Amino acid sequence: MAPPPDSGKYLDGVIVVFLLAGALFAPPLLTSWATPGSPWYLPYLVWLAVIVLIAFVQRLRKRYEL
Amino acid sequence: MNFELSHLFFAGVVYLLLLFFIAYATDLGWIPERIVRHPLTYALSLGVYATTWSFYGSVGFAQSNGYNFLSIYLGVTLAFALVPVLIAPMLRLARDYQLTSLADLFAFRYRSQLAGVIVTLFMLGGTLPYIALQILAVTESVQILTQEAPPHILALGFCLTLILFAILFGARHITPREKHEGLVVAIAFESLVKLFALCAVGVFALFGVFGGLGGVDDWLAENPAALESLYQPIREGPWTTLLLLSFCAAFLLPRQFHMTITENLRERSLFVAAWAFPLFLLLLNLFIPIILWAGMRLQTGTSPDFYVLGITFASGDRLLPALAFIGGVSAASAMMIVTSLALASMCLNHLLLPARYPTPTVNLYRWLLWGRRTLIAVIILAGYAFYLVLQRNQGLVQLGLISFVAVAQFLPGVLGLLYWPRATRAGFLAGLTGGAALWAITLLLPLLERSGFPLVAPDLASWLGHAETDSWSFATFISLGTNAALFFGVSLLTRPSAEEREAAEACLMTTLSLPRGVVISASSPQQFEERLARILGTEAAGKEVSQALRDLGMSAAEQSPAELRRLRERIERNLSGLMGPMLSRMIVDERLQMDASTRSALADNIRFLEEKLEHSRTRLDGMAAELDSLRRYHQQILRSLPVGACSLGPDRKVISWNRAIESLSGIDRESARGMSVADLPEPWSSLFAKLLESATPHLHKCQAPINGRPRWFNLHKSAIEDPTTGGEGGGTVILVEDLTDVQTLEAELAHSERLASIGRLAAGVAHEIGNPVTGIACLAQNLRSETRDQSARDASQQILGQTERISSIVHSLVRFSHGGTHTEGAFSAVGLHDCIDEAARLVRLSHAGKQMEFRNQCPGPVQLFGDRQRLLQIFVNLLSNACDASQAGGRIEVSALEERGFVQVHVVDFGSGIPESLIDKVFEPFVTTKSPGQGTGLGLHMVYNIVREHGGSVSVTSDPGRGTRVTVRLPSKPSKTRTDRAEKASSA
Repeated sequence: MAPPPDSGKYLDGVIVVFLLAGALFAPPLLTSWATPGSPWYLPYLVWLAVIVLIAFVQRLRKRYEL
Repeated sequence: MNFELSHLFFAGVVYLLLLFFIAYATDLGWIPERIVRHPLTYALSLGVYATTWSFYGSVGFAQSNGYNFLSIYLGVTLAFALVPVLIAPMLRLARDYQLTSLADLFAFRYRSQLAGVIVTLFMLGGTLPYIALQILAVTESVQILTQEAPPHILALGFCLTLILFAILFGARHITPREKHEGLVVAIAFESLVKLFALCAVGVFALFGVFGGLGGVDDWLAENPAALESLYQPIREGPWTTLLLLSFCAAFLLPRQFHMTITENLRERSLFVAAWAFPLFLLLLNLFIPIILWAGMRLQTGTSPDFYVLGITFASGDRLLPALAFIGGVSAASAMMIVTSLALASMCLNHLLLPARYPTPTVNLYRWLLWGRRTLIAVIILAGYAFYLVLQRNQGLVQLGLISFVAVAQFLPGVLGLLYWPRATRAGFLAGLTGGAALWAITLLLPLLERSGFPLVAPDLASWLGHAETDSWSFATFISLGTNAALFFGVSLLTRPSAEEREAAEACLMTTLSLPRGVVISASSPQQFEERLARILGTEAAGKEVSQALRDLGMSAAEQSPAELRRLRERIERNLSGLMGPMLSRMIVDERLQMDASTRSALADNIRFLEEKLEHSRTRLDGMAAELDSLRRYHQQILRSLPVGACSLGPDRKVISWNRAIESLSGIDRESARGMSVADLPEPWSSLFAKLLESATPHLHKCQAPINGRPRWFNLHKSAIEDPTTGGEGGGTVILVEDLTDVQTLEAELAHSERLASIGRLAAGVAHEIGNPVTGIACLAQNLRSETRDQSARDASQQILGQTERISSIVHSLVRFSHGGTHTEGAFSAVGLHDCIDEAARLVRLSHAGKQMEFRNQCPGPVQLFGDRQRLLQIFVNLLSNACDASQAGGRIEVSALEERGFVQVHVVDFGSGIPESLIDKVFEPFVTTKSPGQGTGLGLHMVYNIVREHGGSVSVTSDPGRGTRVTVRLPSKPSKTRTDRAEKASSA
């Protein structure tokens, strides 16, 4: 019998994306990329990257049919 | 360029009418369901998060706090990244227990009406400034467009219009439990309008003001401080605080909870919204810096909070300002409508109903509907009153943030609800009260003081030495920190009650407590109705019981204690959707009392456990997940057994029912489970009862009619050991072995054997007849040659003719009886015409009395390729059946048509025909149209098998009362595969 879908991988992905996004938006890392010399649209690009990661993790959910 | 006040009001009302039309069209089904239920529609409906604060206020916030304004949306993105662990569990809980608001959720988890009351009051207090913000933004936008101070009556008119529309959207129907698909689609449309309007203004700012991205870069090069002022505040401002506040607001604000949880149509949509909703927010905010810089460049003269409107005047066209105004109205109306609906539901369940429950003579549904309508009006008017007393120079964002800090106070309670079973009612109430008090001291009182109220707000920040800390961060961390400390501290100091533990287990979905007890105050759904009518009223009680019966697919005549307990639970859940979890529990506890000491049936317990395990699959991990896999594996083995298997509890109720028995009995697993053996349909009820009462563990060759046809079964039983005691008492397992195929084969074999013995007898008789006939023929020949008498010669000639006839018959009989098993080596070319003649001759022998007329119309040259004896058997059977069906002297025609390697032989009679009900089954064994004792029902089945062995096909058409046509399609030459096989066989 095939093993049941491993929901752990999906949930791991969710937590990893959350921690990554949290780190990007938290002051220590935030102040390293959000500097006055950066282009004005940089925060939007970072935000978009986080959204893409969330969407990618949600694709894992489909695979495990949760 | 000024606008007329009346024109703006008219435009706003027309826009709201359009929204109502969309909601109405959705309710009527004019909008396709695939759009209504599309995950993106749901994701857009969550855009109610973006109010006038986002639409107008973001630019002002960006001007004063730089990119801090983005944190209001980035927190939401972080919250939606955690959909499966944060929001989805709340959605499942709310759906399973029919909880319609955050107050319901807390009242359910902490088993406290007081919790519901405090949450509702606090939510109400925290949200009124936010409603006031919307009114303020709309009136100020009107002031900017008309260049004159709008009268207060305008704000009142706006509020009254929204009351009307909120009632139309969410309180139109008499049963307030239903989801409002129309509302979801209308709010999704509002989100699109907001997005389109803000993007239109942004595109104008980009190309109309700066001439494109290059222009922006040039302007920024000339004004480097503009970009620096966006990045700099991130390092100094309340970025982290705002991130935390918006994280909480994403699902705790009343409107967000309402759209995300209460109005969710499909759980799957939530996982699409996890990325689609943040993407919507990103697009909505994309042009905010451009609009800010355009406003700075144009020096619009408006406050930065309204640059979105101010810069549109530079377009020189009335369309863009009007569009921006409609966008603002859209943002405000969506927020006010959804918030008032959500708060009205909370106030109804936790303030109005507990305080003034209607008497049973009042129509409950009507009372609830009007209660909800009144509360919607009261809430919006309370927001208007707050707007009136506010000092006008409050920033839009400041008002919104007060609400954000208020709803953040629910975060510890929610985390306890989802993940901490040790959390207690006392801890929750202490934490929330402490947090709410500090919120009022640090944020609400200063706001009222600034608005001219005669009170002095204590300066807590200075007392605690945090005068330098920004006010939002201080208020957030002091209130939330105190709240969390009290929540965890008091929870650890107190013990959860049994009720709280039960609710905690239900919320966590990790432990499974077995259902216990039976309803003792009512023994039928009818009695449920009668008892509930004394509180709910006759009409509502009838509707609620019927609804619960429908939800469970249960009969109104149900009397099983276990099923009645399920009915009670369903009624409680449904009532919870109507009037909150606490009141519904009180009503059901009072009117439908339980005896909790009664032990549940094993079948019910196993069913309950399996349902719960299926439901909580995603939450199992570690050892539990492994054990669950093992359980599923064993379950699959049982399900996939090729023999019917079912297990019965000690009370003879069905516990498991596998696929094979499903297909044998035609009873699906869900229907069979929980059913008593006595309640199973016949013949299963009597078969199982006979087996259970039998002293032996096996019953062999039991015949039972299934779908009007006899079937044969072997039944076996075995006692199941009780897993806890190791002795008997765990019930019985029954195996059902279908023997029908074996039985058919045996009957067919016996029939063939009988035919063969008759054939051998006939052959012996023919042989014995042959000798005297040869003697007679010799004597007749002698007589003919020895006499000259013409009459004697004629007589001897006739004798010779008759002996030839006898010889021909005898040869046919001998050939037919020379049976033997079918072998491919016996295949050869067989003349069809001769074969039919011979079959007719044989059939005439057995139907001599009938004087049948056989018309063999088969062309002489047509040949079949097959085993002559078996082909003869086909035609003897078919002609014999045709004779049986025909009247004496009737006609039977046999014709043939050759086509592409096959010959179609039609055997047509004009007899009684075959009834329509049997026509599809005539080739199955034991199916016959003849009277009992006249036919075995195996003849056509044998024909079918022989034709299939020859690689042909057979079909039958019949017109009852007028005759039957049997068409046999047989090969006229060897097929390639058969030839190859024959060659291999011969070479071997």
